[in-house]
Formats: sequence, structure tokens, C-alpha cells
Amino acid sequence: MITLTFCTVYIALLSLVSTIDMFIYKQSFLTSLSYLFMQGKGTNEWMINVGVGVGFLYAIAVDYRLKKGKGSQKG
Amino acid sequence: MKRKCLLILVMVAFVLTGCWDSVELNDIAIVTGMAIDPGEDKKYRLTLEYMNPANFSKTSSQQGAPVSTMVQEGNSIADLAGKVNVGASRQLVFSHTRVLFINEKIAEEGILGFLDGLERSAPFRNDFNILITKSHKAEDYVKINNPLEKVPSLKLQKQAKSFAEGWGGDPKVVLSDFIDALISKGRNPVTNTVVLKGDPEKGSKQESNMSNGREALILFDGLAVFDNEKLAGYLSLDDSRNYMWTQDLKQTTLTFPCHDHGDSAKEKQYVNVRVPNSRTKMETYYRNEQPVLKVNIYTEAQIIETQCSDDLTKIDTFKKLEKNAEKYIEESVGRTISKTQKEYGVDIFGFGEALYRQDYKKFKDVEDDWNKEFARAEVVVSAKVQIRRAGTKSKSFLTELSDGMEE
Amino acid sequence: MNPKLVEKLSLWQLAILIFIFEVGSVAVVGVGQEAKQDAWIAIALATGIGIGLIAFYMFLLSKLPGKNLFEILVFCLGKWVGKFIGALYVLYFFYIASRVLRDFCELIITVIFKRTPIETIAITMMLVIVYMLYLGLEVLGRTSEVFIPYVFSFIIFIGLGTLFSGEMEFKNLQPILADGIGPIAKAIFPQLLTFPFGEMIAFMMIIPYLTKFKKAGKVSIAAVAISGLMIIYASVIQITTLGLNMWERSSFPLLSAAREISLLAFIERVDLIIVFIVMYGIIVKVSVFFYGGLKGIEVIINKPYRTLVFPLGMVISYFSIQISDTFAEHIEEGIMVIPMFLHLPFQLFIPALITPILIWKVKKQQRRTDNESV
Repeated sequence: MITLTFCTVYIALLSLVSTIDMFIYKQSFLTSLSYLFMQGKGTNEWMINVGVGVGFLYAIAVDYRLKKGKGSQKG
Repeated sequence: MKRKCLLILVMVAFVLTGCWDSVELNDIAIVTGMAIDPGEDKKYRLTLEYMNPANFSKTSSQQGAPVSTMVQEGNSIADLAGKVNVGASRQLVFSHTRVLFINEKIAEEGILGFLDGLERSAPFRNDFNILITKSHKAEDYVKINNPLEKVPSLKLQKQAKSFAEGWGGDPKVVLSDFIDALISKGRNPVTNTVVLKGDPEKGSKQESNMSNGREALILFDGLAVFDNEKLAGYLSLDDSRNYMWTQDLKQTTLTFPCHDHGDSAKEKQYVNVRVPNSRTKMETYYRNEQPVLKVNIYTEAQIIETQCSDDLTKIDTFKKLEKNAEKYIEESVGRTISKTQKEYGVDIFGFGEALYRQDYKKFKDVEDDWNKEFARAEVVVSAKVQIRRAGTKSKSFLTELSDGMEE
Repeated sequence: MNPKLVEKLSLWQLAILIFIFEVGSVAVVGVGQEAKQDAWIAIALATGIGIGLIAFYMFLLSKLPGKNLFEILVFCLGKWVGKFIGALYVLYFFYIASRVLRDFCELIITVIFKRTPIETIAITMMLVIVYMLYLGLEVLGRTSEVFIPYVFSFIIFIGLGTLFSGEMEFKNLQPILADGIGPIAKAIFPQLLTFPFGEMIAFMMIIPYLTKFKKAGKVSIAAVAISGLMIIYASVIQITTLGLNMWERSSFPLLSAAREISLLAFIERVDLIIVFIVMYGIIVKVSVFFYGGLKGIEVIINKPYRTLVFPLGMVISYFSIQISDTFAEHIEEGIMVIPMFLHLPFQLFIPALITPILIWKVKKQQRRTDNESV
């Protein structure tokens, strides 16, 4: 559930940001979406990517633990 | 849980230790002055003056020269400041820059675009003096030694401050004032100017500090008047004090004749008064489509020297002197304003801004050629001087002398 | 094992939070540039409207005591529509949180840390906020209690400092109302109305958790009024010290104004205290928006928000960078897109739309309970 929420929020914000970029730069939705991923070279954007990655892993871990906790309670 | 805490701590440590911006104290040098000359092949020639900290320590002073300079040529000041380590050993810190010398040739060509870089950058604070150098290269000005102040630029800044406080000769123009005046439609910028007297070669040597006379000395030399970003011309030192009367002159010393008789300046007798504070109000208005520039000066004064025999214990004498002082101020300030009108035709006084505040609609009509309006305007200066006291003596010995002669 | 999640705020803490929320960023970035030297008049009027807004929000909340904005939405519009609109609100809150975080990072990068990558600052700042919210809302309230004296007195000090340094020129405020009321109206709508005052919508997620809900209305109105005065004070400092041109061109006017302070040739270079004010202001602002979004998710997925704090915090720091590549884009979005397409609908239109439904439903419910009791 946590992972799902995480992904939903991530994707929704991604599309919101690229929609706004779409209007600002007057380009297609997909171009601005791909721009969000491409810009990273030569900058330090890898840091925030790592940050999001860690967040994602954390979410999976929490989900796993919750599931295990539930399972053990039942069993 | 414990493991998780540990994990978080390790992560935080990773993120927090990276002090990208840490700088060791002995890796930096503090820039105190900058001088900008036209380059030979490139656009600018920048001289940076930075301090040698070893010379300022109490225990082991006098190790080498107090400042060091670095000269480079390039097309932008920021670029030159960035690659200064082509010759200098330390990283330079610009936040304590005190003086910016600009060669008059740069100002004449009006290539002041580099000012944007200074305004935009965070390290530069808005507290350094901008000075136009009239003789020699600007480069020489940051090298002249002085026994009282070890750092040439600090000497200049202190000199400007004292000059402004003592005589009102420095308009205290800093970067923001300059740029404000530049973009304002109702005002044009001025800056103070400096001139180098003597031999810069000798003046830059440490030995020159050993002699009592100065081999080379930097003096203030009136104002530089700008027409937009081009240098239009100069005003003399006296004019620059008159200019300050229209701005916010705080203190000055005023010498004016106490009698009308006597023709040449040498024959006249003079009174000298100290002005401890003064207030100025500027008004600009239109009388039948004729712009009128009005300056009201309210001043207090005390007599510090008199060469006349008038009795200073009498009210009438004070009244007479006040009248003379008023007349003198009105004439000299009026003369400076009309001189600016005729010779340069640019409003350096900010009368346009006064109109902007007082009659916004009218100013909107004339703002695009305000300088023309300024040039054809009528000037009215009215001064109100109140002489309060006359120092530690009441009657001058000259009064006693002339009394004796009359008997 | 985990410390217990405390979600109770006192009235005093609420007032402080509102104050820092309003003043922290606005006092520094400078608002109302369209109104030129009359910006302070515009802000004064906008404060009046802001008080009206918070009163309106309080009115909505008072209809269903103890329920937050999302629960009200679900109550009014039914489970599915309510949750959908709630989800939009969550996005809105997160998006604004990222924007606010970006504002702060830009300031830090420009002013102090020139070589540090902006990403690091976004992540470290977010970690602090994540930790705060992980421990609960009360931590935020208590931290603010500790910091408020500094924030408050520093802003006051900046004014006195510039005044006594002789840098203030009150004639910069003239001419008053030169171009009439037009520019002022332009400044108020939509910019000043939405930022900072409309953003109070995020407090609809916090106010229901007060210990004394009944007095919350008066307290928040007073807090908004005081912060309005403070913003006026700050903008007067900015305009008088910098002059109109400089003020319009500065990215961070209060910072530039603080640089002019030079008292007794001794108290100088105090601009870092501005960074402190912004830093705390931003922490509060991001936290409040982030908390609002988290609470929304809590309503939607019916699970405590706590486990979500860290991952979503990372998402916010990610988007604070991705939101725009350049500062120019950031500013342009802030002027052209955000107020019209995000602030106005979420701050005004949706609340205004649900008001009649809410009143009608509450009445219906009351009638039913009355009938039942009879």
C-alpha cells in the first residue's frame, strides 16, 4: 500500500510538472516528460534520484514488514 | 529498530559531512581594492589589490609589503576575477572590497557594463566607493603607500569618509546610488574623482613611507558628471561642495566675505563659519510651462574665524553676517546649478525625482526629455542661515584694535 | 517502540505557526511589485481580504467540528468524488511544498553556499522536515515556540538597523497612489491574494487538531492581522532602503536591505540573520503543506501517514529540483501558471463550491438527528 501510494504520488506529480512545462515551453507532453529525465547529465541530479530511490526502497521495506507483521499476527 | 537508527545516522553523516563550501583561512586573501583600466588588446585591464595578512599581525609586523597587486587583461571583469590565480596564490574574497577605481577613459567610452556583475554577485557588498581616476593609470592608485594607512584602498575610503564629514566634499556614491541614478529618469549619476600628485613609481615603494613628505599622494578632485553611462565632464572641488548643499550636506566650513568692499579676492576680508548641520529641500514645479528648480537650504552655523572688525557681541553683526552667508550660499549653489545646465545639460541633482514625487502627472509628460527641461529651467536658491554662536571669545581682538584706532 | 505520535496544538502554537508561515518567506522575497511604491497599501488591503479568507475557512471548519478539509470534502461530495478532489488537493499541497523548498534552496545557493549542489540542500532540508513530521505536528509547534522570538526580533531589528544606519529614505514611498487604484488592484489579484494569504488553506488540515477549537477562529484572525502588519513593515523597509528600482530588481529584497545596515561601524554584514528567518519560515511552510498532503493521503487510504513521511519527503525534494531547470522558469511559472491555475481553484473556487452543499447537508443531518431524538 505504501509503495502504491508512493508510486501514485510520484507519477501524478511527474505528470503535473510536465504539464506545466508543456505550457511554459510550448512543447508536447512527452517531450517535457522526457526532458525531466534527460537533464541529469553533468549536473548533480543523481543525488535526488538516489534520494527517491532510497525512498522507494524504504516504502517497499515498510510494506514487506507490515505484511509480515500481519501474517505473523494471523499465524 | 536500533539498526534502522544506525542506518539513518550513517546516511545523515554521508550527506552532512560534505562541506563543499569550506575554505581555510590561510587559503584566502582579502581583496581591498579594484582598479579598472582600458586594456591594450582586450576590453579591460583589471588590477586587484589584496592584503598580505602577515603584515598586520601585532607580533611580526613589517614582513614584506602590506598589499600585493595582480594585473590582468580580459573582456569581462568577472572572468578576470575568476582566473586571478593565474598569478596569485590564494583564493580571493571580494566581500571586503573598499574602493573601485575606474579610469576616466573607461568612463568616457561608457563601458560600464561590468557594474552589473558587481551588483549581481553576492560577495560584493554595496559599501565600496566608486572613484574616477583623472591622471595616470587607475592601476597606479592601488599601489600608493601611506604611512598612516597601510592599505591604499582603506586609506582612500577613510579619506572619503572624513572628507564627507569634515567638509562635505564627497557625495558618498556607492554602487546602488550610481545604478539608481543611472536608470532613474529624473537624475543622472555623479561620482567623486581622484587625481594622483607625484611620482607613482616612487610612491609605490615601501621606502617612501620613511620620508615625511609624500612622494605621491592621492587627492580628491571634484565630481565626475555622467550623461547616462558616459562621462560628460567634471565639476571642480568647490562645485562639488555646492552640489552637496543640494543633497544632504551634513557638515562643512564656509568662508565668505564680510563686507562688500574690496574687489579682488585677496583684498577682501573673510568670515569663516562652521556648519554643524544643514537641511535641504528641493522643489520642482512649473510656472506657465516654465520649469522652476527651487532649492531651500536651512542651515545653522557658528563663527570660527573672522578677519573683520565688526563687533560680534551685537545682534546686528550676526544679522549682517547671516545675510552675507545666505547671499554667498545662494550665489555659489546657483552658479553650480546653472553651470551644470549650460555645460552638461544633465540633471545630476535629482530635480526630476523631486518633480516625480511632487507632481507625478507632470513628470510623466516630460520624463523622456527631462534633461532638456532641466537645461532650460529657472533656478531659485534660497538659503536660511542662522549663526548661533561665536566660539570661545566674544569680541575679536580686531574689534578692539579698530576701536583703538578710531579713538 | 516508536515515540507516540502527538497531534495536538495549543492556540499559541497555532498563532505562531500562522505568523511564521505568512511572514517567513513573503517578507524576504518581496511581494506586490505591481503596485510599485504603493505596495504597502496593496498589502494592507490584501491583509483585509486575507482575514476574510481565514474567517471563511474557519466558517467551513466550524460546520463540522473536528473534521479536516478532506473529511469535509468526503462528507459533501460523497466517497468517490470527495476522495478524487482530495487527491487533487494532495497533489496541490505537495507541488507547492516543492516550490517553496526550491525558493529556499535558490536563496541559499545564491547567498551562502556557492559551490554546494542545490540537490544536497534540498535533501538535507527535507530530512529535517521529515524528522519533524515523523515525530508529529506538536514537534513543529514546539520548535516554532523556541524560534519565534528570534524570527520576530530579527525582523524588527532589520528595520531599526536600516533606520539608524540612515539608509531609509521615506521619500521613496512618494508619490502615493500615483497611478490611481489600478496597479494596487492588479497586485492584489491574483498575486497577493493567493500568496501569502490564500495559502492559509493548508491550515484547514491543522486547525481541527487544536486543543481548543472554539477559540481558533479569533486566534488565527489575529495572527493573520499581525503577520499582515509585519509584511507591511518588511515591505516598507525594502522600498525605503532600496528605492523603487532596486527593489523591483532584487531577487531577495530584504536581504539586500539588510546588507545596507552599518551601525557604529561595528554591527555590519547582518544579512545572515535574514537567511535564518527564511530558513525557519521555509521549514514551517514546507512542513505545513507536506503535513496537509499527508493528512489527505491518510483520509484517502485510511492508514496512518507516518510510514509515508520519509518516502514522500524524498519525492518532494526530488520535485523541488525537477520543477524547473532554471530560476527564470521557476519565477515565470510562479507568476503565470501557479496563481491562476493552481492557487485560485484550490484556494477559492473549490471551497466556495462546497459551501452551499456543506450548509445544506449539515442542516439535513441536524434535522435527522432532531427527528430521531424526538
